[in-house]
Amino acid sequence: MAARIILPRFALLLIVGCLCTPSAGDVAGDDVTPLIDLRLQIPGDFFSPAKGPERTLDRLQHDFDLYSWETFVAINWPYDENENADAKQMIGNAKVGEHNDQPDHPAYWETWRSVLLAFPTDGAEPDDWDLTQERGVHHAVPLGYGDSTCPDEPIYRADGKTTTGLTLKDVLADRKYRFVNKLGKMHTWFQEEQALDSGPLVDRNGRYVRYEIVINRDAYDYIRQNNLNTVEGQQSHIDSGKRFVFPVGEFELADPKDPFSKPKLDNSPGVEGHRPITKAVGAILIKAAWKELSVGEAEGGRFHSRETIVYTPKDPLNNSNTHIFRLVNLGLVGIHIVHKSADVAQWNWSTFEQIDNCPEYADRNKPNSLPGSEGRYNFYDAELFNSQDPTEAARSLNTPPPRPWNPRQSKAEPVKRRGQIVRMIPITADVKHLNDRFHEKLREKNPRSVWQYYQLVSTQWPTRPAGLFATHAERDGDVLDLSRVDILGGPAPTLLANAVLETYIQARTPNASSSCMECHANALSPSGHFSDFTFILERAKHKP
Amino acid sequence: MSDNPDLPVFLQLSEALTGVKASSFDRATTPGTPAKIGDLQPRNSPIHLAPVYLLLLQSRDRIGIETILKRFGGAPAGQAPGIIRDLLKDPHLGPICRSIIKLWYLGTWYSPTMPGKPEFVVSSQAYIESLVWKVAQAHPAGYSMAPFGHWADDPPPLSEFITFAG
Repeated sequence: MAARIILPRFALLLIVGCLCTPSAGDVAGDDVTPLIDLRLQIPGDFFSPAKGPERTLDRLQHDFDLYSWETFVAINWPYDENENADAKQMIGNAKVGEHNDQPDHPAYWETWRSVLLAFPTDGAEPDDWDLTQERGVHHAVPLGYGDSTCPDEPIYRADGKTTTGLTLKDVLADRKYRFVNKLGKMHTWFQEEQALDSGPLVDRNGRYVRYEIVINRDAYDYIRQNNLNTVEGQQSHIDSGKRFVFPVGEFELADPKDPFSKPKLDNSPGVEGHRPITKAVGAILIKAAWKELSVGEAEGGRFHSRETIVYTPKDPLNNSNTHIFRLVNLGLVGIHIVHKSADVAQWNWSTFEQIDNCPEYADRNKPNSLPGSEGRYNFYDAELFNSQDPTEAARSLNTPPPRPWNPRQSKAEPVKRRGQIVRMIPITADVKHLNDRFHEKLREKNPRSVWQYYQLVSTQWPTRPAGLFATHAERDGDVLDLSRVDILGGPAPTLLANAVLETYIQARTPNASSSCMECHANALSPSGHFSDFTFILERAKHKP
Repeated sequence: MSDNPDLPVFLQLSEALTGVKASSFDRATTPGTPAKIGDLQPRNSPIHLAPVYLLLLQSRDRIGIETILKRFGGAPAGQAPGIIRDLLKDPHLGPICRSIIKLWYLGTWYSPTMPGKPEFVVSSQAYIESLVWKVAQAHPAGYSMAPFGHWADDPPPLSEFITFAG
């Protein structure tokens, strides 16, 4: 498309700000950007009220982190029977069935679609979003290589030995169940996921962590409407002169006729003009990590949990010739929220964890000191660390269990094979303080809210965001104009890892240690075209 | 970002020595012009090479770098080229200035007393961000921020890599 290159509003303000100040080193203060009431509106884009010299690196980081928390709250909001975030409900204080004031509840993002549904294995067109909702099918049964299922497949209990009396047909018909399978980028049938090539993550109970990817409607419809679920469809898209550019989120503009006008502020109660109004949400991709909860952990009320069908495919390489479906109570331990927005063409990368996951490296000798944790971490045992030979203890940190990996087994992995995970890059003081403030807000709504037990790790964003093509009105969704010498745009922070999603690549080596944007800048379609920072287009199948 | 009070003058000095824009301090640049990756201090850069280099210089020859900064920073506007010429001729300060140039262009520390012998690469970031790659319209071995397949095309123009001063 013929277009002129312009900069996003955020970049213009950022540059003007920096021209006026030599230092980007200010530490963001407590109240630099006012907090607003917890609400279900997903921010359509990044917003900072800072102007001119206030727009330092630290201040913008602070406002990106604030954006992340607001997004986290919105996507975890309770939802109604139409699968919309429910304005009559409150996060962490919801009506579930006949019970009021529930500190935990199904989260809005869990109504989104498994990425598997967007790429049917037979290359067929993905079902219309509304049709999948009508059928109650949000998750494809995630079959592994050579596996097949029948409707009468038994669903086992968590122990993998006794049956629940339910069949696959039953759980598919009941909308409350979700499916997960992935273990990490291990080999053939596990190759889908995070924790990355070096192996799976085993919690301190000896159970394997499971992962999933879901996408929101904007992302799903973009794939479906452009036939990007097949290799041939993607090639045709490229041949027609288009690029892969997912839909962007954006704010309403104060002057709708001027594409460069300021965002229109929301003056509703609780917001009071401190945030703009979302016009479009844009594409959001979620990666979530779950662990099997023990009875004690479930009763402790520190996890968002869901009864989930955990599927383990057959694995002929490990002499396992049958697959298994188990009904398990999973607790959320980590979540990435990746959001494309108009002013942040390289996407906003937010990542959260359950607060008891692991200590920071400097605290590796100490038990968990958080109130209510009883000294335990989900993925670390300080007592074990202190009791070991120092060399052996040091070697055990952030190291995957040796092969063979067998998530099918009913017994737990032995103590020595369980994760000893530490956070290598500490969470900043500013983010810790922001976490405290949001936890306080969540407790105000319900002192037992499970969401108070989740913390932001950080938000990665481009300090030199890509320019946009043409105007908001003209751009027709095709907005990306990344610099040919630097598609990343200077990610800040330069490195970012979630301890349960990038477990084994936490360190400080550029282009090797975990950086959301540096890694995803390598994402391509099967035909070798840049796929807009997401690897999901690799899942395209051949047309039947 | 460092709070080192000498940083603004150090960046101006670096710009004069390397010929490359120190964009954070370029108040004359038209708003809307994006910082290049080759700029000495891209706006809001999370890389922070300038404070690292300044700290290194202060640790190696505090009096020498402070003298240079004082002479350069205290000069009236428009006299920078002359001062740079004088500094480069100075038997003690000239080699320090040349070490600064090598830091920015090569990411490598050359002791002023042994100018032909590289001592060490300052950091992986310093290696990646070395100006030599940008000036050559290239990228360091093993690291590129250009999109997949860029090797099949001619490199973008030099102006997309770097902004020269003056």
